Amino acid sequence: MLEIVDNGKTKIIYIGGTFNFEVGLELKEKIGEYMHHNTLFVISFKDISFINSSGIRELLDLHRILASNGIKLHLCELSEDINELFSFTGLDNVFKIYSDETSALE
Amino acid sequence: MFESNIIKINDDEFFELIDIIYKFSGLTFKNSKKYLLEYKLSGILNEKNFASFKDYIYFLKYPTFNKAEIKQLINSVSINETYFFREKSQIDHVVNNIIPALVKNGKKRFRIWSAACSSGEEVYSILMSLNEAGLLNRYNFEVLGTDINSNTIAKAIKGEYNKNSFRGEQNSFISKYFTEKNSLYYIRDDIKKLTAFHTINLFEPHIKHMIGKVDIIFCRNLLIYFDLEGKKKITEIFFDILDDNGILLLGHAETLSRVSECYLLSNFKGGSLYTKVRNKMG
Amino acid sequence: MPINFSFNNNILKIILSSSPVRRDFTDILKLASNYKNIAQLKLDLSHTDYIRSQDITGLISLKKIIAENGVQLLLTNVKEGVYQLLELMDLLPYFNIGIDYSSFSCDELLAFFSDPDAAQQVSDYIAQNYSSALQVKLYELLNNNDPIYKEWAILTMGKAHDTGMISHIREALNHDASNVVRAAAIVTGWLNDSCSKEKLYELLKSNFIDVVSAAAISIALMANDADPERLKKLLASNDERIRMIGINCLGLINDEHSYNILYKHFLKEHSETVRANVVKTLSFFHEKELGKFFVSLLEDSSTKVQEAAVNALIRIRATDKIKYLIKKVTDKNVWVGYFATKALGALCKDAYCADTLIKHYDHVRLQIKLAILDSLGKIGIDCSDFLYSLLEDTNYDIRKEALNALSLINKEKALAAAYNLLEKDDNWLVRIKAVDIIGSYKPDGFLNLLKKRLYADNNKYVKQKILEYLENYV
Repeated sequence: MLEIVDNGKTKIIYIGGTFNFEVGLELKEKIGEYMHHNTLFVISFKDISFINSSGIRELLDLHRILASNGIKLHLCELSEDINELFSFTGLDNVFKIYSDETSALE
Repeated sequence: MFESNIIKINDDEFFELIDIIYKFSGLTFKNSKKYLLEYKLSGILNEKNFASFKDYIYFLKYPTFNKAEIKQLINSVSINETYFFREKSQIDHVVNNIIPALVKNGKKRFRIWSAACSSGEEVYSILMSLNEAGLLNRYNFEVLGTDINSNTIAKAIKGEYNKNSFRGEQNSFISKYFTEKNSLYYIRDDIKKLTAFHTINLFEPHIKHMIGKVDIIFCRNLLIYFDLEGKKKITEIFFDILDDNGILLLGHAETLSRVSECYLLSNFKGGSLYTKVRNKMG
Repeated sequence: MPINFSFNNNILKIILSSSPVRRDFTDILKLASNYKNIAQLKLDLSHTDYIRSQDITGLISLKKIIAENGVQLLLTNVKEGVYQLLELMDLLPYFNIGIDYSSFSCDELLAFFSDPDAAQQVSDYIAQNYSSALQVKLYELLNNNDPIYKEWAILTMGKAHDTGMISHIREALNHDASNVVRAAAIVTGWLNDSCSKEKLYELLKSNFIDVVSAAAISIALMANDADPERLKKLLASNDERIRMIGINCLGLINDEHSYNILYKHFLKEHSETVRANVVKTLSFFHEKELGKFFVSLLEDSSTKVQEAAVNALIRIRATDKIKYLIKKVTDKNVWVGYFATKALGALCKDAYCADTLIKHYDHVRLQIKLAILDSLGKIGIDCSDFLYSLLEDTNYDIRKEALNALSLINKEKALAAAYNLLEKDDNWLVRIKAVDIIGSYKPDGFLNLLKKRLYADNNKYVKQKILEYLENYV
């Protein structure tokens, strides 16, 4: 499940289930369509049950692409498990992570 | 930084935890250092299967305060990363100016105290500098290192270091004072024997008897972890332990302003120091 | 007069001089009146060595006046001498104090890398505000002899996703300082430099455990189908820490092959710490069929494994296994009972659970009582009479937990209890909880009540909590 919602110059993306390689690819494609009209993308992890290493890899690639175009990427509402994964891999220092959607949009 | 799940601490848990740390060690943590506690303690929480700091606090407190766990807590939060020749200008000034001046006045025996020595790099740095200046063999030096953290004191006693403790030092220097084995470096025995290391809380009642009289105290980057009350107590203790005109050296960001009027501040190139004034003022 | 000022995004930032006097604060007020829509006034004290006590009154007046206009005051980069003055005058709870790295030059920022307490934060700041000026300086640091500066340069550029430095990273994988190698190893994974994967496999044999860990994590981040089998070798190590690293990395890869490796390993692992970690890692696979397996581990000989099994059941949302958790509430090991009780709070939403926990309450030890109260709040069934009866317990944590649970179940009763306890309870933790409840629900007149309490309470943490609510409501 992947849903994109408009918020001015920001897009909020809602994803459900496991964030794996396929989901990562789909996300990159979809974001690619909107990339040049937005300054910020927020990915809500509210309904994501888990993310594995191949999903993280796609997310990192997305981060790189957006950063090189001066576009921000914020993640929000990560579950405890996913927070733990990001901590373990040091990625909590690479990505901007917020506890809720409102602060991610600021 | 990574390899461990960082568990977040909320305000109430933070207040209670720093209150416990303060009660058992006198150390304080400012609100801006909340993240430091998260980093320093998450490893312990993960090991014990705790998902929150509240769980950990209950574990520390009930059924009664668990002394061994409190010790582990204090050890974890009091780790002070250091390295050889940190704030070198102060050590150089002591070795090249202070001690020669005292020698000129006839002094031949010196006791130096590193009052938050962590894993001993400061103590060994002082001795290596004295040796380089040709003073170590000519006069009598005893360098004492103390810290509240028993783990770092054990490391200091062992005198075993990895490359992280050497901040760009020349290899020739390292091989002069250390022997290397399996990427670890061991301080020379003749340097080691001039040291004494102890685990001590500065607020222990008999500390003055334990330390005796000293000529110079290095207490760098410790006072910032105490509140005003704590800073005052410690500087009073230092005052009693320092010999007349004894010298106190603090970290570059630290000051005795509003803490004590019993010391005279003087600046030198690369830093400042405090000299004990003969009589306590006020 | 201030040294400098700027206005961006409704924040007026002013850099104070080295020894500001009272008149300077008046000047600041005049300056602020020229701007509409100020949300925050940031006073930067990075140049301020000293403020006389008589001049501090100017700062206090400034704060008061701008607060009346709905503007927050934040003091940043406060030096030790000024901090001590605020502490001496008992003013610390009244000011928000923080760090603002935007006030520092590139060189000053990089100098923070030598401060172990600040390095991480500064590194994050630089990565998020990556500029060409900073990039140039960081490249210089990559060639620095000092391993600490090199380490932080690598990590910072990795966070900023500066792929231009990949050749430096590859070189750093061969550095003789382990912290530099470790940094290079983890950044390799962040940047997905799969060309270095074989080098990472070599690093798995390092004498330094943190290098092994970083290398393994990066291999896992870049894993393909063949890597779980190769990482499996770590599980054969005599060193428990290396087996843990292998387990965690297989959990990160999280594919079928990794799952099978982990499950088989559990059956032959002898260390309870490692076994507990395998249990935890298996639960990350979210396989419902593991529910039965985790239930069987509730009777394991090791309490660590039992605790891990309880947490695992929470993680896989095994709501069909609640009855087994209920049995463990009265386990002879108090911490197994504690975790099992908390698990019920996470999984259960029905009256049966709540009633069972209340029934057990009088017969369990204090730690489990606390967990019961925590869980009752999360379960959400109205047991307010029971909770109310505990508000006069002799133990302050019981009172605090009862009040907290009440706040999640019955707002009116919770507020009534909070008013009473804020006034009368002798323990500051309970009073803080009361402040939280009042501040969260914002009943009529709550501001005046909190203001009154601010002056009446003698505990600095309670004062600080009250001030946070008062400031945020301005």
